[in-house]
Amino acid sequence: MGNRKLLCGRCREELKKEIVDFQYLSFAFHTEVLRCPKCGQVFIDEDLVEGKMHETEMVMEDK
Amino acid sequence: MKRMFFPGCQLGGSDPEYVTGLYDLLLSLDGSTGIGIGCCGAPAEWAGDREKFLEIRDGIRDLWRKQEQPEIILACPYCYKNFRENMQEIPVKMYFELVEIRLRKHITGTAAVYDPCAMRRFPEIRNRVRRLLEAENISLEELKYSGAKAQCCSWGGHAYTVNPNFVKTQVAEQIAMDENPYITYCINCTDIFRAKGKKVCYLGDLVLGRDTESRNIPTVSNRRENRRKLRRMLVDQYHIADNSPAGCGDRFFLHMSDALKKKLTERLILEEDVIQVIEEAERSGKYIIDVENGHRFAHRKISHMTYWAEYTMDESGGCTLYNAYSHRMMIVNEDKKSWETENSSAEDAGKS
Repeated sequence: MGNRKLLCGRCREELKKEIVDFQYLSFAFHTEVLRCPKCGQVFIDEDLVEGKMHETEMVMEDK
Repeated sequence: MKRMFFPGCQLGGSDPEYVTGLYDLLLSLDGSTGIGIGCCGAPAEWAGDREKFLEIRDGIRDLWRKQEQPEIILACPYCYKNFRENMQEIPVKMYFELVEIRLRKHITGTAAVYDPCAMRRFPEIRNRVRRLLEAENISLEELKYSGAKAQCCSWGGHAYTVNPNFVKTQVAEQIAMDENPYITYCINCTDIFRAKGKKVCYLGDLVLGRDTESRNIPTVSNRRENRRKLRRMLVDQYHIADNSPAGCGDRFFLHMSDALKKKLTERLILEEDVIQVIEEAERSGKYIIDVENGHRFAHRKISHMTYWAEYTMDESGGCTLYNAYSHRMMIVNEDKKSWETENSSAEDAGKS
């Protein structure tokens, strides 16, 4: 993703890194992703989805 | 009704004209033949959803009883296995077991019959396929793993959802068993092998006088649309009552590259799900803008999945899709901030 500038379409605020909570199969996680500081809209890039998130999903499914 | 054609869920998904072509053929043999489209329940069984599987099985049994217990004519090897093992009171045949069935398209050269995994326990079906081909001027080879040792093409068990890497290896091993073209009689084996470049001749095409190689290989979204198209064709051409719920209609057109179409199919992302994401984003304004190129990113949770779309809206009202991906993990309290803001504002207003 590099350092590209992302704006929230609703608030026109620039997204900032923030810890966000996730849940899967009754397990809770949190990680730092880009988020609108005003409305909370989250952005998750494909690298995170295909990497860390997918690996975690697989681990939880195998438990 | 003495016979009812039950083509299963994938044949019409691959190409609705297989279903209507075979149904026309069956009608020419017995004009009272009925048709029922739907799923035999195998995918629910593969998913371990026993309750859903039993619900589907009981629905088929009810339909069969209401239709005066006709002989069920099948086109899918896994439907056949499922009926034989789980609905033993229902008499079934594969369509090509009917004595009147002949091949209308003729092939030459050397080929190998690829038995689907569902046929391991049914030598009579496997033999019938070979007998049909005996009259052809072809040299038939037997694969290392065929008959009772037939392997899975990779479709079964939802392997493509759970372990895409396994699927790649499995397909590669299957198509490498023989360099000659395969003659298949399962539409899933057919489409999977063709997608990887294997020359395949589908028995249904030989029966209908068609050329397998001239058919488009359906994407995952094509499959969904083909099933809708089949439903419309059955209603229009055969005046069959449509009792199924209405699907979503055409909305806006999604432009994308062939490479992205391929990716969506590999990741099992339906175009209609992507359209839902974009429609909701455009309606609510909830999307993210990449300042550099103007692309918008939007996401939406649909059932258990969260889908992401990277797109731009066209002046024509259509949409260009640049990327799409999905995850099963849920984002928690995404809108909490706006909720807190609204509530704190209300509280502040109450205090003043």
